[in-house]
Amino acid sequence: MNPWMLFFIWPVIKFLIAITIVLTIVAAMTWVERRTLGFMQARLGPNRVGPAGLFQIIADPIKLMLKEDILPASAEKVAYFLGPMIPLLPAFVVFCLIPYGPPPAFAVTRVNVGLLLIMALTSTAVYGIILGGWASNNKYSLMGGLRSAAQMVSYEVPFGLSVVGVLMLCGSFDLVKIVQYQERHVWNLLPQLVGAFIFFVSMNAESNRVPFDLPEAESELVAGYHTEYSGMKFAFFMLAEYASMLVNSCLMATLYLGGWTFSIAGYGLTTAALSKLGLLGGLIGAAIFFAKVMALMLVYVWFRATFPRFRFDQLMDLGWKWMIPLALGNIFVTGILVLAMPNLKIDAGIYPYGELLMAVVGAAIIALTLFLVTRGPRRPAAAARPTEPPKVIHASRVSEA
Amino acid sequence: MFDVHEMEVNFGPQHPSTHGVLRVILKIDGERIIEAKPVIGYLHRGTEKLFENMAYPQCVPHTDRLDYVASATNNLGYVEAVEKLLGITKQIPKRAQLIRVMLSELQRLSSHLLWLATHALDLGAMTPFFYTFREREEILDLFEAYCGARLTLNCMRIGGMPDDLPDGWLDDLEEFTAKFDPAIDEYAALLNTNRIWKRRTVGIGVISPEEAIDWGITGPPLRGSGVEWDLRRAQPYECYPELQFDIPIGKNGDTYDRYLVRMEEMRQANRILKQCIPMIKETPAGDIKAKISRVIRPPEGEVYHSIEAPKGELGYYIISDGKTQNAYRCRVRPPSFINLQALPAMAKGYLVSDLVALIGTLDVVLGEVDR
Amino acid sequence: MAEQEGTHRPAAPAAAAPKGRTAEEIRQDPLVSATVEKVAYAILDAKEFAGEITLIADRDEIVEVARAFKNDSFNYLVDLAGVDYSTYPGYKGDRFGVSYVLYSFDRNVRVRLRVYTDAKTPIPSVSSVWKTANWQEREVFDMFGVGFSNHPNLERILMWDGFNGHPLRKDFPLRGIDTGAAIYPEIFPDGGGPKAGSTGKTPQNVNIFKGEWTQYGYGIPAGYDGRKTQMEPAPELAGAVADTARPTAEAPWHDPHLALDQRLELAKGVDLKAKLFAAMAQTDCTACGWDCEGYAAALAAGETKDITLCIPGESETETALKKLLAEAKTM
Repeated sequence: MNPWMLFFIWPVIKFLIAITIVLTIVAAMTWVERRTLGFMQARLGPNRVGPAGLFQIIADPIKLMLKEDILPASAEKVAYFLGPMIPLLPAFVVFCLIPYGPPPAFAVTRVNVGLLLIMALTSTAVYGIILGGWASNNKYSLMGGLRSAAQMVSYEVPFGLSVVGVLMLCGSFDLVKIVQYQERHVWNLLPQLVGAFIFFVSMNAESNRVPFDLPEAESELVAGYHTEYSGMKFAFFMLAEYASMLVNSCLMATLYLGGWTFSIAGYGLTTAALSKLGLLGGLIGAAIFFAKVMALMLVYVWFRATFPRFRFDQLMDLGWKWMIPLALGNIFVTGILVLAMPNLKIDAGIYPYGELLMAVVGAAIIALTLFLVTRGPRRPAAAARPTEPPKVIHASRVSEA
Repeated sequence: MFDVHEMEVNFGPQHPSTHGVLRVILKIDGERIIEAKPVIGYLHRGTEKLFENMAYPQCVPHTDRLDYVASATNNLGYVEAVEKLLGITKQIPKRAQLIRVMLSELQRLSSHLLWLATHALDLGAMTPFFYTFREREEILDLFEAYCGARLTLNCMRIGGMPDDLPDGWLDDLEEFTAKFDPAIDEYAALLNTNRIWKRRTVGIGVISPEEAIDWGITGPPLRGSGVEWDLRRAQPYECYPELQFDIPIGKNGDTYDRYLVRMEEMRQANRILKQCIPMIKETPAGDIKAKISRVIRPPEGEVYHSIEAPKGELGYYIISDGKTQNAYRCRVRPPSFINLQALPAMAKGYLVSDLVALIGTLDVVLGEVDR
Repeated sequence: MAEQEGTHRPAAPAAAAPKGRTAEEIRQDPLVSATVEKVAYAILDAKEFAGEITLIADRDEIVEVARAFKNDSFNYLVDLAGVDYSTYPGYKGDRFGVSYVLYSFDRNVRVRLRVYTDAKTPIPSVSSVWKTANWQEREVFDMFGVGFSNHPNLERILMWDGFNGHPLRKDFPLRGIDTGAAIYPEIFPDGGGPKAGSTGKTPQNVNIFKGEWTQYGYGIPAGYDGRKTQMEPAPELAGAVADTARPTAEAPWHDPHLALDQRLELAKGVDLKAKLFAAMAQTDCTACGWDCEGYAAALAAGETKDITLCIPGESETETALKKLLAEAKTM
């Protein structure tokens, strides 16, 4: 093939298709989230614009674009402008690196250190939030920006550590290879239960979602780092948040849920099986992938409807005292098992005994951690319901009128 | 410039979680509160001055606007104070008393539901808000069926009630009480054992019983500190002595205990409502007003009368000079105002996030704070 | 009053105090006697109404009295209310009263203490006895201007800092211009707030809509010197001056630019209707429902008796109309 075609034209076309789909999903996600929240909260959600409120997806951006773009008088103008742009750009670039279906057709580019690159790019998003929070020249924005900085930096560590287990199992940074490893064994979710758990918690914290939405906690900081933003700049922040949710869900689906495949121990819809079907197989693979991604996105929404918000020190406590040691422990255990498996001969053949062993161990560790982390302060619960019959305090002389 | 650690933040009056127009000037070090100074008065309407310049019955609608999420209890406190001044407390017919009790217990439910909704929302839990408003809506429908208004009810008169219950109202109430207990269980299921909720509330804003009394705190915050004191029991009014209910108390005086106390109070209020329904069916229909003169001119004297409003002890101190149809002085003892006073002491040393929890747990309504 | 009280209500329960006890009997009441004995020197009087005991305490000794009651299980200060007795019928004594409602959890009983003071003498603060007194005393200070000595933080609480006046005092004007305070330093040189009594009018009679507030103790806005010169009509009012508002041979006074005196001078020796016509504002604005001539005719014919309808003419037209109609009646 013409090298221009191979390295420039095709990637650009694929990127444009991918970005269109991604943007549509991001926009649709707002509708899905609001409808789902409505379903969970005994209300309707958007239902006025178009059938079932579907055109809300279009109405919202139009409204935001037509709104006045306010620049606070004492804001730092350049930084204020850059704030919303910075998180958005890496979020979109990252979509080039994610394989949506069987390669090569359904991945824009295939980078052999894809995972590393994605994590490097996504962690730049925090700059935009800090910059925006600081540049607004508002104390609430500043506090939101600072909270965001501390939170994202803290959770970047367990986020990175949690995927090390996957890397050791699969032996590659290449997302395609990670998926192909999973189709030959089982989903990494099972052997890496602890890792997946940490990854999921950290990705919630990374994308500032409930219960980790402290940087924009509306009841404490008004709107946190984007208090002063309006119109399209505000929309950019929102877009970046949803894009980051989507990136994280895609990563989780790829790393732990087998990506575009649906198979165990080489049986089922593997890459090879899908490739036989040609383009149709590719589309099926992409559909499987997006189904997994959407399921994860719905978990985000479910969380939002369920949890109250952490306090800041509790958030830090969780990150540093629980997530990081747990992730390190996960690396240690995975390392031992990865080394031991060839010797123990339990990785032989088609049956993933090793993974199952790790799954059991992981489940036990998670159960113990959840128990410890959520036990809360130790004190007996208050006696709210006295059982003895009510005591009538002696009748008053004064109240007798 | 780098040795300055403190930042002064203006928390309110326009802030999502100050429940109105409360303004707190915060001095913070990082996120930790060094000093909190509440600034109030943004909603001051001179209600006490208004009371001095209008006849006794004219004041009733103005009491609605004090604690505007619990107007029935405001009405009740006022009309009972005037009745005490007139010396006709014992003449109020049983049916009127029962209607008053039912309306004020419904009002307690609606006020506590609103408290739960906003308190949970302040701590980031979004869903309880919608669940509680589902039930509150039905309570407001009951109010609307009784008096035509949903929020500012103006539903009581000196000497009795303005109207008898409309047809079918008791059936609606019965239906509501039957499904309210499961509804409370639903809220409790969302929060009671939610670990994040517990971490946000357990041990936050602890008030000891002695401190609570010293600060004059009343209502659920006082009971949350373990003082079993409820004016419905201590100094009973209307037909509360005939009704069975428990007074829930807490042990530790923290935000979680106050939460549990209010949740249990809702169950008890529902229990009272259930008892009222058969009782009112035995009273003669239409017997809702004592025979008092149309012109209300109390004798010279002064009374202080207080009731257990959802927020605490709501008192009215009325001085009559015996010559006019106006109160010479009518002082409202607002529970929110006095409970709010403890906020700076409670908030000191906690984080900004906890301040939000504390404002929520004190359950202040600024209409009552500022009057 | 207590006797009359007894006639229209059922007999009080046995536990309740009998009516009409003397101050000495109330002091002996078992509920308060123990405490009263300890601070007997500071309890000046005792009253009772509807079963509520009020003890009048010595102003300077209130902290001691409060502490004695607190030690005697009255550990909850329910309420602290100020009262301005200045218009209370038959009242002679210090102007302000401050009532402390105390409650005892042990005995489930309330007692009211009261002290009297005048506007200048502060009351010793009981905020060292009960923390809750802090804000309540601030409120009494804010609303009545009663001072409290030894209060940790005696500042306004409901009204804003620059507010001049104490709203719950009986002489606080109920009608008056909004007290813009610091926003209008030229109008309110000393911080704003209505002041009463400077014109001999009772505050209730001041009509803000007729600009009477200017004679009411306030400064006068720059550029406004009362009624001496004809002010330019306000822009929206100028637009309301109709085309017909110009002098004619029959009605030389029909000119909105003439002052009232000049117009009445021109209208000497004409009939009542024309005189009334001259007293109008001459704008033909039709706010009254007629043009100026029509309103004058209607008044002269007795079609309407309302002389307040001329809005641009303000009170001067009203006064002139009243005078003219009175003259016509006597003639």
